[in-house]
Order: sequence, then structure tokens, then C-alpha cells
Amino acid sequence: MRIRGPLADSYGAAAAMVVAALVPYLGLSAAIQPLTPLLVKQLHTSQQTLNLTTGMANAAYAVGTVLAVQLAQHLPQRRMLVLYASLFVIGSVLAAWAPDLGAFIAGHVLQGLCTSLMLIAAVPPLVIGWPVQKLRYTVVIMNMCIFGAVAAGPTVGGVQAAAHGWRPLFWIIAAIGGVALLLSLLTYEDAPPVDRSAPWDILAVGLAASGCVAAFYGASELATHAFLDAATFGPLLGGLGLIVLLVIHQYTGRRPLLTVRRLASTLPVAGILLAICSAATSVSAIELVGALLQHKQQPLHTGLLFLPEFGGAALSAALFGLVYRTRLVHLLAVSGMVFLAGGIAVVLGVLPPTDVLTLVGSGLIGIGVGSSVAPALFIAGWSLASREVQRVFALVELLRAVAAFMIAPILMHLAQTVAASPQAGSRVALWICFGLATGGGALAVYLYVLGRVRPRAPDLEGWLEGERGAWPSPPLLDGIRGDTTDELLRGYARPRATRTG
Amino acid sequence: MIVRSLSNLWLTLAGGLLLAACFAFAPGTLGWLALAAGCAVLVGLLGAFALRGRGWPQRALDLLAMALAGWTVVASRTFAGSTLRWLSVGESFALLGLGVLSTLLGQLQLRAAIERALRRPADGRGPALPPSSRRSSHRLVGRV
Repeated sequence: MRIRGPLADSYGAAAAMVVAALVPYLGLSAAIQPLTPLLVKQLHTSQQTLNLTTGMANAAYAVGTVLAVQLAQHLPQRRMLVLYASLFVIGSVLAAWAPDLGAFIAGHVLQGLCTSLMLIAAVPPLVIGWPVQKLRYTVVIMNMCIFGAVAAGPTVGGVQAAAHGWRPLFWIIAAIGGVALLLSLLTYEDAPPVDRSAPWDILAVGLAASGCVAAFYGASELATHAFLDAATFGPLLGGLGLIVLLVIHQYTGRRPLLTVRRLASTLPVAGILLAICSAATSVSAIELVGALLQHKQQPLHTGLLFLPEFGGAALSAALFGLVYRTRLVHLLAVSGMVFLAGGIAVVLGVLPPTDVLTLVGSGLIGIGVGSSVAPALFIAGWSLASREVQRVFALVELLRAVAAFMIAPILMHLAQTVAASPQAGSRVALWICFGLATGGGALAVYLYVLGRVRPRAPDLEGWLEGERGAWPSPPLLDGIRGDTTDELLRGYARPRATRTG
Repeated sequence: MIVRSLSNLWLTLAGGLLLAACFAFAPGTLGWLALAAGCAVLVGLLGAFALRGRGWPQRALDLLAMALAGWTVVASRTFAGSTLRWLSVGESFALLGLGVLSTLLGQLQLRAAIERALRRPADGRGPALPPSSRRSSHRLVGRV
């Protein structure tokens, strides 16, 4: 007998489940910075240990994307979603209750792992399992869940820090996780595994796990070690190498877990590049500014200064909902990088930034991150057939998470050590963020030029049929491939014209 | 071909002007001039790189020159004083060298391409030169 929940046919309930599943941890990852002094004091631990805990939770989030795809191949997907949601609630309760440091670490890492497992299990059915008319709401919800939550994080963390407590926020997160679990039961509809004949790619999961753990460990150690110290540089470089190896292994594999080879065309590569640069830049810039203001302002005041970031993310989510079926979606993704660079330039004006500069800068960064990452994610997803969307989201989220959560600690370390004062160091780090935003955006546009891409509106009806992408994506560098030196003669002599008729 | 020659000339000029600036201006001014030279080379080569007909040896040199121009931009805002001056001297020599090398390579490839075109039978297979331009091509080879 097939079991169906009472809300299995409700799009609203399915969307609410995705929101409740994704928002808590993603918001928390951005909210934890102002809570750090409280956590250190009340858990009787050190800043270094706490950095390591958040680093491992972020590593678990990144690994979970690959693990979720592997488990979805062989195990019933909806049952697994219920299991992930249950584990998330257990992890959240453990972190909020946290009688000692060990419980907090275990709970927080479990939260990170289960969030990405739920993302990969719950989001693709919401994207492709409903009529095309619902896609407008889905893209807005995705934007708000992932980037709206991250944008709201600093404000939420500041408000909570002003109350001199951290546990209430963690209990709220546990409650939202409980709502996600309840909704996953109410919307339950049994779904079979994707492909039981697919191989168990233990090597891919192992490379992702070891690479992420090593890289995030190295990044976490930067708080107390020099960059070229064996405890930091070795794991950082080794971890990055393993992740590169994973991508190569998936590109060359006969039946890979992630669709790297099919993604190696102009539009997905440009989209992934935009998502990586935007995520790395925005998270780093907000952390750098937050660290500068932490010593100058009260946590509540600092948190409220970042409120426009959430407003900007909401505005860009609405804009994405308006243009998602037009060719403007390409322009939106690139313009996001311009807004991002503009926001960083504004906060660079005076360091530490004044209240007005922080309000304007964080608003622009919010618009930038909301306009670039989600459209870029969908540009990559729409370039392949819709049945591949789970694997595409997994790869993009893995790379986005690695970029966002690994580059920020490196730039924070740079800000502390590269110059005589933290202000001067932060200026250098923010200039690097500015360079990443402008360079990433320019390179993505250049890839369009080299591929001779004419931006098109996506054919979403055709895409939802599951056999082809929403637009043709030319091979990488299609416009300059195979040119020979014989073409040098152009301008000196023309090839003989063939007469017809 | 004209774009290729112009981009190589652009690279050579930028390297030469930066070299002159290294000995003519104070490090503060030199920093901004190096930034401008790096940006100019980057933008010029990015534009030229997107066009067809360059061949892979020229593209490899383009990538090298673009990496060098990118470094020039970063170094111009990172270093100061005599470090900046001597770094700029090195960068300008490298840009100049790459410009000259690219120009020579272009001329050699042009010569080889013309000779290939002249050897090709005029039976419609492959891009042969029309008879009218063969005579001028002979003169062209002589000039190259």
C-alpha cells in the first residue's frame, strides 16, 4: 500500500517544508559570528575550538551535497528525507541543550550535514515536480531560503547577542527543524530510488569528505596559526587538491555521481563561476566588516546595520521571480556582481565604515548576492535536462560552500596579519573581495563572448519534460575553437568564390 | 591579421612606454602608470583574444601577456618605492619582449601560411588564393 500524507498535493506545504529545512542552518552559519564571545564563555572553550566546530559543520554541509546524491541513487528518497529531518531535529536539540562542548560540536556538525542532505533531497522535487507556473514561486523561495537566510544571519545573531544568550536561537532552530519534520510527514509521497543500477561511488564520497574536512580544518586553524604553518597550509592545500581531484575523477568517470562532463559547456561554467565568486565575496566582505564593527559597536547595533542586506536579498528574489522566464535572467546574474562590487566599494570608503556606509554597503551586497547566486545556479541547472537537476545542484552547492566558507577565514586571517592594523589589513582583504567580484563577473561575461552565446529566454516547458536543457549551451570557447593560422590570410586575399546557378 | 598585428603593437608600445616611465617618474606616479599600462594591455588582449585567426601559439603568448598584465595591476597597488620601480622595469621588459616575440611569430606564421596557400592546387580543395592575388602574394612573401 502506498502511503500518502494529507498535504501531498499541496505546493504550499512542500514549499514551506523546503523553507523550514534550509533556513535554520544557513541563517545560523551567518549569525554565529556575533555569538562567538558568548559561546566561548558559556561552553568554557577557546575561540580556536569554536572556529574548528563551525569549520567542521561547514565541511559537513559541503560533503552532504555529494552524499545525498549517492544515497538518492539507491534508497527511497522521501523516506530518506524524513530521516534527514529527524536527524536535523536531534542535532539541533543537542546543540541547543549542549550540557558540554562535545554535545554542542556533535549537534552543530549534524545540523550542517543534514541541511545539505535535505537540500539535495527536497529542492529538486519542488523544482521539477510541479507545473511550470509554480516555478516562479520556487525560484523566489530558493533565493530567499539560501541567500535571504544568509543575509538575515548577521542581524539575527546581533539581536540574539544583545540578549546575552545563544541558546534561545538554537532552540528556535530546533523548533523550525521540527516544523520541517512535521511537513515532510504531512507531504509524504513515496518516491523510489533514482537508479538502483548506479554504482556506489565510494571514491567520490571519500574524496569529497576528506577534501572538505582537510580544507576546512586548515582554514579553521588560521585563527591561531600562521598561513604557512604546517597545520594550516598543508591541510588547506591538500584539501583543495582532493576537491580538484574529485572534479577530475567525476569528469573522466564512466558512470559518475556528479555530471561534471555534461556541465563543461559555456552557460553552466559561467553560472558556476558566478555562484562561486559571488558566494566567496559576499560572505567574506560581511564577515570582515562585522569583525571591524564588533569592537566599535554593540552587537544589536551592528546586527541592525546589516538589516538592509536582507532587504536587498528579498528585493532581488522578487526581481528574479519577475524575469526568470526572459533572457534578462543572464543580465540579472551578471548585474548582481556589479552590485556586489559596488557594495564592497562603498564599505571600503572609510574603515571601519560609518553607519550610513554600512547600511548602503550591506544593502548593495544583499542585492548583489541575491541577484547573482540563485540565477547563476538556475542558469547551470537549466542548461541540462531536468532529470539531472539534483546532481547539478549538488555540484554547484559543493563548490559554492567550499568557496564561501573557506575563503572567508583566509581573508579574515589576512586582514589580521597583512598590515600594521586590522583596519589596514581589512582594506587589503576587501580589495581582494572587490577584485574577486569584478574579476568573476568579467570572466563570466567573457566566457559568453568566447562561446558566442546569444542570451535566450529559457524554454521551461521543454525543460520540465526531462529530455533536454532549457536552452542550447555551446561548448566552452566555441567561438575561437579550431582557428588556424591560414585564417591569417584574411585581409590579404579572399578565398575563391564558387559560382552557382 | 590586422587585429593580430595591432594587438602585438599595443603590447609592445605599452611595454616600451612603461619602461620609459620607470626612469622618468617618481614611484607614486609610476604606480598609477603601471596600473594604467596593465589595464590597457589586459583590455586590448581580451578583445583581440576573442577573435578568430590567431592560432594556438599566439594564444599561448596572449595568455602569458595577460597574466603578466594582471600581475602588473596587482603589483602597482601592492608595492611602493624602489621595489615598485624595479618590479615595473622587469614587467616592462617582459611585456616588450612578449610584444616583439608575438610580432615575429605573426610574421613567420603569415609567411608560412602564404607559402602553403601558393603550393595548394587550384582545384577548389582548400582555401586557395585567387590568381589575381597570387602575383601580389609572391611580392608579399618577398617583403616578409
